[in-house]
Amino acid sequence: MTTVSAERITCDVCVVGGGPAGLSAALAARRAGASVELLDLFERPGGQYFMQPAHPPTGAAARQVAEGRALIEHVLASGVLIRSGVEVFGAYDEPLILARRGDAALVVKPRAVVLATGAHDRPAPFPGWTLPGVMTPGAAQRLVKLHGTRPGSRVVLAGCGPFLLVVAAQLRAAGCDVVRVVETSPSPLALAAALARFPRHWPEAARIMLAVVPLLPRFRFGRIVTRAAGETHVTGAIIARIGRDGRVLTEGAEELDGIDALLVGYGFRPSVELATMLGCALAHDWDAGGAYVVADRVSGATSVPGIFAAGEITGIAGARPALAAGECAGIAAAGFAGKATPSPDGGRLKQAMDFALALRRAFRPPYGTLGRLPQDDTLLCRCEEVRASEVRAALDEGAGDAHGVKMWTRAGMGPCQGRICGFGISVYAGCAGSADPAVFGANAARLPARPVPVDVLAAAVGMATREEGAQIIPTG
Amino acid sequence: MGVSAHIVVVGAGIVGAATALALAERGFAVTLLDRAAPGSAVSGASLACLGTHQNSEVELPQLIWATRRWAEWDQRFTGAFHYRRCGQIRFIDHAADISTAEHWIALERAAGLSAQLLNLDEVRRIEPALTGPILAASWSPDDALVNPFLSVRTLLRAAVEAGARFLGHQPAQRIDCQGDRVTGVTTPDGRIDANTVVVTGGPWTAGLLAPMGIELPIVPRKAQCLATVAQPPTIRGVVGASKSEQGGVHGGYTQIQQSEAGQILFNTVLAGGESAPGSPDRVPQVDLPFVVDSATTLMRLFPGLRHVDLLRSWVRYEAVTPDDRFIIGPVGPTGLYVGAGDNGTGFLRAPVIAEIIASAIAGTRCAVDPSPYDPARFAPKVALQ
Ligand SMILES: Cc1cc2nc3c(=O)[nH]c(=O)nc-3n(C[C@H](O)[C@H](O)[C@H](O)COP(=O)(O)OP(=O)(O)OC[C@H]3O[C@@H](n4cnc5c(N)ncnc54)[C@H](O)[C@@H]3O)c2cc1C
Ligand SMILES: Cc1cc2nc3c(=O)[nH]c(=O)nc-3n(C[C@H](O)[C@H](O)[C@H](O)COP(=O)(O)OP(=O)(O)OC[C@H]3O[C@@H](n4cnc5c(N)ncnc54)[C@H](O)[C@@H]3O)c2cc1C
Repeated sequence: MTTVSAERITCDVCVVGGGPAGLSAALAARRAGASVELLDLFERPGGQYFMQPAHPPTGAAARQVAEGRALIEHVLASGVLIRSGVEVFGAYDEPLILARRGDAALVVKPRAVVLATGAHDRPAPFPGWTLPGVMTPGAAQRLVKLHGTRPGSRVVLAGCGPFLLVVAAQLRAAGCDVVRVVETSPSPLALAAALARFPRHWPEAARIMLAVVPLLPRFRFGRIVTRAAGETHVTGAIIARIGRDGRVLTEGAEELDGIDALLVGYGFRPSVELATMLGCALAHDWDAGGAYVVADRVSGATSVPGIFAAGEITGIAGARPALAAGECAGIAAAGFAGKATPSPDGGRLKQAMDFALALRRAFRPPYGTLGRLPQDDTLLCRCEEVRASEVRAALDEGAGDAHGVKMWTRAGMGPCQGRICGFGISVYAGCAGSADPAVFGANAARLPARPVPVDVLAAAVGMATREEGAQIIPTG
Repeated sequence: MGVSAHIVVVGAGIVGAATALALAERGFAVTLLDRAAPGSAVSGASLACLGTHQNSEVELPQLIWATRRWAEWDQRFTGAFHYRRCGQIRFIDHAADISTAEHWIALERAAGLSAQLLNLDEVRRIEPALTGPILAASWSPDDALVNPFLSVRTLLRAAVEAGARFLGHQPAQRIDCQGDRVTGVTTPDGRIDANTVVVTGGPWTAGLLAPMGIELPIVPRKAQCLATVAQPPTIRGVVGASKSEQGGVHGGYTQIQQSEAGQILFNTVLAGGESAPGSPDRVPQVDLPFVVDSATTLMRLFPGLRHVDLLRSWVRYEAVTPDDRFIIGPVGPTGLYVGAGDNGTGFLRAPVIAEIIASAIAGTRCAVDPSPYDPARFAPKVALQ
């Protein structure tokens, strides 16, 4: 007989996610007098922006890491319990949080919940994208930031948005030869125009720009990587111009050789799984990353009473809005839990959001172009190995939407449950099936939000549904 | 739209797809509608076991006919929906339940089927991973599994090839009548003229007909299922609980099987285990007691699967009637037919429903006895209201 340990805790506010949004929410709620538990998947708190490597870095990166460390220390000092390495796999609107740390089940019954689960990469499929050596800029950044590992020595970086600049600087600092930076938006003018209106962001922008100045001759605007070449590993890439109508112009395409890493991604998708399971209303906007949680602009209140949302899950906007939104949501959650709180001040959030929205408008990925990249034999769903031709055939036969395509081809039924392939299938369907990619849909989130062993699940749910008291349950 | 079609079939689940095929093959002009993607409601959530074992005493002849039709379809569509005759085991925990199993075995054998009782050694030979503490089992070697998604797709494709037209994401908002005759169906895109309308709308059927003054005793019931990540071949056939008077797992419902893709699919509802109420229009998460019961039962029967990762759960609303049988045939105005009330075992029955409706519309002899499904059996109740 084996046993799975299960622990049940109660608190005023449970924060899920330990990035900028979750940390500042936890701090604000605690300062408002609430007892706060913060659950985070990663080994150390910080999320994406404030990621804390095992060995503190030097140089430009040190600043960001130090800012994060200071925030984490404030949070800990305030009396928030941070539980790292805890994966939340289920949520019910009692509210009830089902989680685990390894093989130990954890059940949280709070009065209010702040969801701050952030975002994940948004790759789009193109011929060769499954070759080893092809990855997202986010994954490459993780290698560099967390492990000090370079994704390759001669690297092509491609995608859309200011995040490319950040990664370009980090790759350069890590000693990579960044051969090309391929940006789909037509010119840097839109960025310049956006920046011009927000002088308060000039210092930060200047820091990033300065770091990439030596790379400027290698920037290519209005272009897109249409193919990764290589036998067993990526060795080359084709970079083509995007025409006015969004079509790829094959004429004059550049064929690059001799590379060993190709980093391509088109922004981030909000990680809305837990919010979806709780029944929070979602809205859709590609420029906000796709489906995002609808939340009150100040309090972060979602459509479900007692459930608040902050940061990237309410629409991709970056770390500054996440920090400001977290603070507001933390205060509002403490208020919901019965603490007397001042009403949150949305001023800082509004300021940060204005700039984020200006950037969003300046960098809009060419969704139609992305949908045209896959060839018949390009894999759209990597987990279940579903090719574009199969998806097209299903659409032709009336599959109609993402759910129909999933049923008929298994695309999105594998371990990633559509997190990785969902965007690519939507934009492909927009071109191949003339569906509106926005209403084409996505794989709806269901329990478990992330795979969980059956015995751990049984222990957690058993603990959640049983009377108060017992702490260990045998399951066999 | 204003298109003139003779027959509109509302609802492209397995029942609607089979019915559209049967009608198109008889030469009718058919338009098949679905409010969403075809097969996306109950049919796309199904475990799709085609089994006569311990199923329904009253319907046994119809079920035998249905299993034959499914086997014929497998031949005709050359394996397109992955039919496999894997057999079904019903495990027994209490000595007192053996006689119940024997009762079912006897009546199935009398109908020419080959169900039998297994001792533990025989169980282990057939289902080696089933090492949990059971007493015995009954076994029906001819029961089969199909891929539910590809079954709908195959029948839909065949219907279209036979001349039917399919419109997805096209809800029937209203059934139109003139006097005592059906005249068509209204959709957001306009009207589709028809002199015959067949409603195979699963749990939505009653709601669509209610405004016409037709009250069908069909209520929604939450049906739920869990799936693990893909495993190497572990479970060969369908595993369920033998019927019994003991309550618990046996008084309720259990089904465990492995999909061709390798996922272990399982659900257990204990006797008296009420699921939360709800409506098919807003599909919620699985109930927590259901999760505990299903996981506990899986681990008890298949201890080797206890550490396997759960990947997904899903919920649908089945259409339930007072006597657990479909309502099939004409209702209300001339030209209106229904085929709904699946009671959670409608996948197997789809060909029966298609046959009854198509032969009634064509005015030809029906290959099965339709009387157990006659809508008129609830007529007194309707009249009372
Ligand atoms: C790969 C990647 C790299 C990025 N790099 C940068 C960058 O360099 N600069 C920049 O300005 N912005 C970057 N961003 C954008 C970033 O999302 C924001 O800047 C900022 O980190 C958002 O804060 P947040 O708190 O909303 O989310 P995050 O910082 O993403 O924090 C979310 C946290 O929630 C946790 N979490 C998620 N799901 C669960 C779960 N089910 N159970 C438990 N915990 C969970 C995660 O582990 C994570 O710690 C990056 C985003 C991604 C996805
Ligand atoms: C977990 C689970 C396991 C099961 N296991 C088995 C099994 O092993 N064996 C078995 O035989 N059965 C099983 N069943 C039951 C079986 O799947 C169902 O009985 C069968 O699929 C019902 O088919 P249907 O066509 O009647 O309903 P549905 O598939 O629900 O089809 C009805 C269709 O009508 C459409 N519709 C409704 N209203 C409208 C409208 N106004 N306009 C347009 N379209 C409309 C819907 O969108 C839907 O697609 C199982 C069910 C579940 C949930």
